[in-house]
Amino acid sequence: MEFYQLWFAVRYVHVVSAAVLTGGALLVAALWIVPDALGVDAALAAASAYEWTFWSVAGITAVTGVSNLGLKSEGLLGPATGWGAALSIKLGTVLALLALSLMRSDTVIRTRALARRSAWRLRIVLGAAYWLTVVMFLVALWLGLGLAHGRY
Amino acid sequence: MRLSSARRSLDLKVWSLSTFHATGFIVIVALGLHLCGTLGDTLRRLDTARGVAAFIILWASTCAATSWGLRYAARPAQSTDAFSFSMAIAGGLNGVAVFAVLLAVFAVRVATASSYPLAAIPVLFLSAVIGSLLAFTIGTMVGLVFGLIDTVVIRMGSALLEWIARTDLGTP
Repeated sequence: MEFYQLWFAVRYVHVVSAAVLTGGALLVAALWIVPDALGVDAALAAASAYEWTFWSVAGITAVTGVSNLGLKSEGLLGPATGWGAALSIKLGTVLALLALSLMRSDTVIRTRALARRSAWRLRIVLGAAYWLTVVMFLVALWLGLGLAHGRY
Repeated sequence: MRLSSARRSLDLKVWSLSTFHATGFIVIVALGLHLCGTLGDTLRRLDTARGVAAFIILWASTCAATSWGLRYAARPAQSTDAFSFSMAIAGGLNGVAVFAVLLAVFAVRVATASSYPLAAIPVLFLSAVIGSLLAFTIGTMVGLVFGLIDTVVIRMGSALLEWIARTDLGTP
């Protein structure tokens, strides 16, 4: 592929990767709030698989996101404008999402190694973590769509 | 089987921490440049292929450095040291690794473009010495910041884990 086409691939890889991360978080979040959907061990295995996917795709999402900003070139407005303020909020949301995800991954890793654990407490903690992840992704997606289509 | 499971957990820990560091770093840099009003000018100098390649190099070197930092922090002799100290040293090594790649690319370009490539050796040597010291210092500071963030996040996770591990009260 010629490099002049790479920007096109980057734009759509960003959209697809964000959709995979949001959809995956939604699926795992649903597993934690429906008690009979899966046993705790199976739900933890699903969460662990999501964490591997999340960190593999998060890097791709971040670099393609910055690359998309580069494509706007002259269209990048300053932080004092409405568009710039929305970008600041989006990047802040992404940072908060990354920190939340690190805590979520760490909890999944260490919970799998626990000999004794309370199933209902685990459902509360990981259910809340995954639902919060979904909400933050939706906020970032909403802001991203607004930035891409000049809503601000 | 148990060893295999522990190994996978360790690998996920390395993978999550290193990707958090690499992606967090570029998002913080992008946010900082945007708040200074220079994001557009900076990105204009990078094309897509170079930007993606630079991130892949950063991601790979951060993964190696974080893996080393976690192993260093897990050594019995280091058990009393702060986790952030290990991440700070790993950050310094990461800075030197990224600088080494940049210098290698520069050296290849000089060697292919110049009629007398050997004449550039003293300049490259001096750049390597000064640049690696600077890269180690900057990398250490960045690593320390991320090490402190990691510590806060992991401690919050530990509090949740203690709550999950309490089975004495049973199901409400």
